[in-house]
Amino acid sequence: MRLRPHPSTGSLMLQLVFSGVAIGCIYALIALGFVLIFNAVGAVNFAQGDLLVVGSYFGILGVVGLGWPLWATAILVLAGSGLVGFLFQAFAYYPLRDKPTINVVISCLGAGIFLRNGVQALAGPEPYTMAPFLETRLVTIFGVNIPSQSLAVIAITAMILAFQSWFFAFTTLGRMLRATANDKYAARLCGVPVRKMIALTFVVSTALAGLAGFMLVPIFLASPNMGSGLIVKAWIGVIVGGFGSLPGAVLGGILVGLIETFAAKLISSAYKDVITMILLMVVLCVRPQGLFKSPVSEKV
Amino acid sequence: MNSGPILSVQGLTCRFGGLVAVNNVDMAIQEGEIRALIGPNGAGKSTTLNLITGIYRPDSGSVSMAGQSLVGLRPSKIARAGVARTFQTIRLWKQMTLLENVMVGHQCRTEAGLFDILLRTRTARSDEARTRAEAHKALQLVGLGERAGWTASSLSYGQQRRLEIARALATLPKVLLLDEPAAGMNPQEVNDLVQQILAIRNSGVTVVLIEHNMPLVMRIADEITVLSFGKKIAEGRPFEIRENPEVISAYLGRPDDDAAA
Amino acid sequence: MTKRWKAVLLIVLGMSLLLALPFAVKSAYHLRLLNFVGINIILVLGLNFILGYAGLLSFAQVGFFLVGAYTGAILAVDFGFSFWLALPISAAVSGVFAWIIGIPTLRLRGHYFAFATFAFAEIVRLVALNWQEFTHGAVGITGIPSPSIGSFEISSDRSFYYFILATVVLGAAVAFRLERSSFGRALFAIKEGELAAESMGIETAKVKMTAFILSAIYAGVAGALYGPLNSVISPDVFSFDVSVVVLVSLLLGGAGTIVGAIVGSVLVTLLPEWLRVLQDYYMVVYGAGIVLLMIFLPTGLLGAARALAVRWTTKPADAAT
Repeated sequence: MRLRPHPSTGSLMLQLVFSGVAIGCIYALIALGFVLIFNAVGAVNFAQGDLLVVGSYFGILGVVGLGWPLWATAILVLAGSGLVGFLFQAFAYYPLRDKPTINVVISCLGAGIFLRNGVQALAGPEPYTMAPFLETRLVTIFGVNIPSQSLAVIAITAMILAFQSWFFAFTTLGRMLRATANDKYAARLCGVPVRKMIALTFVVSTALAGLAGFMLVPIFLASPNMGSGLIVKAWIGVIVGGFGSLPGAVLGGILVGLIETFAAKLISSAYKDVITMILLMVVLCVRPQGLFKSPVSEKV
Repeated sequence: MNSGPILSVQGLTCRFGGLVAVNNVDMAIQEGEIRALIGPNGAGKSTTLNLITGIYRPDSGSVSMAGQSLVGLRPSKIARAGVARTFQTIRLWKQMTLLENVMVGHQCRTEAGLFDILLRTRTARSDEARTRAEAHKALQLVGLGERAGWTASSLSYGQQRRLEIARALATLPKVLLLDEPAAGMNPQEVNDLVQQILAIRNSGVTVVLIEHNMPLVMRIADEITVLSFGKKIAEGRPFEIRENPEVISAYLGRPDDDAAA
Repeated sequence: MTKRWKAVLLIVLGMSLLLALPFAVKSAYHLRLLNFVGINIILVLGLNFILGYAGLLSFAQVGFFLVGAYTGAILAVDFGFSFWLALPISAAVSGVFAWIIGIPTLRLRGHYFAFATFAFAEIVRLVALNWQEFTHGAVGITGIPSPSIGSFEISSDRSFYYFILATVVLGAAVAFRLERSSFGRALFAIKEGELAAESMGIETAKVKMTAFILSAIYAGVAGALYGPLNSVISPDVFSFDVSVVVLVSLLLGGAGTIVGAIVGSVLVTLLPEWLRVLQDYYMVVYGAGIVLLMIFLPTGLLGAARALAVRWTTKPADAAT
């Protein structure tokens, strides 16, 4: 495909950067929740994308269904997703904590199917959308028109990330969560209520996914089956960033968003997903520890 | 048989980050010998074994078996070259029977490919029969012949250690490396183990063992190599090692050390 | 000897039942469904090699299924190949794909391997969807001809049933023989402890690769059969849902057992029929059922049956034979 010389090539680039980072932020939030759960319990949560869908639909319920203002809907999304996250771990994860990984994986897949089709049974299969969070559709920066929702997504994600780093570094609860992730046995000896911390991890990561799902609705058409496509991108971000690393998950997610957006515009929109998949395969084969992490060897 | 050592280690060095786990270790093990590798915890004994068997790659130094270099080979190739081992933390295939565990050990000495198996050719049938016979023989040797059909997980700790030896023997090794074979055994079991190790040696297999049980080591070792903090600090006959002041201080701590475990 | 005769009797009885089955099934629809059960069994028997025996979670099965189906269909429709030539080529092409994918990915551990195989399945599906010139894009390939033996065409669902039954029996026999061989033991040893297997002289990389290629060959055969059976293939058939179906089939029956693979496939394919009354809620119940299955039958039906059998046989009253 040939790029036409155009006076606004620079501004096109800037537009692509903004929308790439915005969609990347969504992936980053899913990836973050995914890694939180992985670090806490060693489970690969295949339902994270479907948990996001639940958040999207709580958002649609609030804004479209009930006509609530954004802030009230955001609370609904956080509380609703958190509750679903709690139930999710109570039924689909916790009873399986001592079973082989494959059982946990399949259970998460099953729970995902349950959630996705539950949403569809309640809300119908047709897609929904809603107006952007800000009143104006486009914001002009350096003479370039940027969709306002992209800016909103980036700003909200930045705030969430800042909050979550403060929370994990400086609060007792955050430290207890980290202790649980690090060594459950030692944490229990130190009086950390491990069972509750595991439940809380699922609540937090589901709330993150739910919020991402809510912010996504004005950009995407939300439908019950969109979760699997999104979780795949988030995984790629997780692996590219280095499995288990929280900053890596965020950076990796954003990188995937950028690559995908540029690939769609400059190479082929039909093959953008193939390109990100190939990125995943290449990283897995060449640098399985991720781009931002040094390798660790296993002790025998 | 004065044709040089069967297993020779020269200048073997392995680092983990800043820690030098094995530091310039030399060993020459003669055919038919029982060599003990001793030293305090963290001296680098198991790491040496892992370096010889290809689980770790040395940073420098050489390992050779009857003149053939083993460095850089995959563990399976090293096993095929005739070096078999047991593990300090037992690594049996717990859901398989004793017989199956040991049969897998002999598999590297068989030739049947996938098509032989599918078509049940003569090669496949004779391989299977031979594997079964070798496995029974190895189980008999370690005193587990009666329990061939049991699952490995049903064994006691000491029996599991003996099953590991049988599995390693089934690979028909020239050199057998035993990593703490007596750990967790009661005195009666240790006695049996001594007899079994001697029988293994008498069948022509060279034995290298890591062991903390000093009476056992003193009873059966021909030569002892002592490691401390990754370095070889002494080597010799059991009676020489017993009186070596360096060895005593490595185990008991020097008078000016404030803490010695 | 009596045990062997019992087994022979059981097999003869089962086979005659299976041979008579098409005459008991009235509607063409149900016969078609049985044929899909057969295709699913072949897929699951293949997955059993890599997941059941070697213990590696693979999502690649649907990708190999697609490769086999497209290879067969393109050869038959666009190049006029006979089915009997297209079938082995499809199986071989799937096998070659497994070999190429396996070289970098089989080194990876646990969930990394799962992700890599997932990526492979997605890539081939997206390529099938987008490479218009070669794969006919989203519309798929239509008018895939039926195989024929001499002048007899295997086109009715009934004749297809016997053909698929023969393939399933052959596939199960091959799997059965491999399971009870040095190859099967090596795979199981790798599942139970790869480092120990490697240290005992098992060339684990080679053994895992063989299992992966075998699983792909089974899927390739399933794909090559699926095209002519359905006469149409399109990319949407080969979605992630198929991966879930084959995984659940294997785990429902009992991973690592051939009978389990078969029982699980039958149940999972027929379940939507029996639960028709649920209508729109079927998928909701299906999802919840998977979770419950993992919690209450972690070793599958066969594992549970074995546990029960052990409990019964260890009763003192049953000590006599």
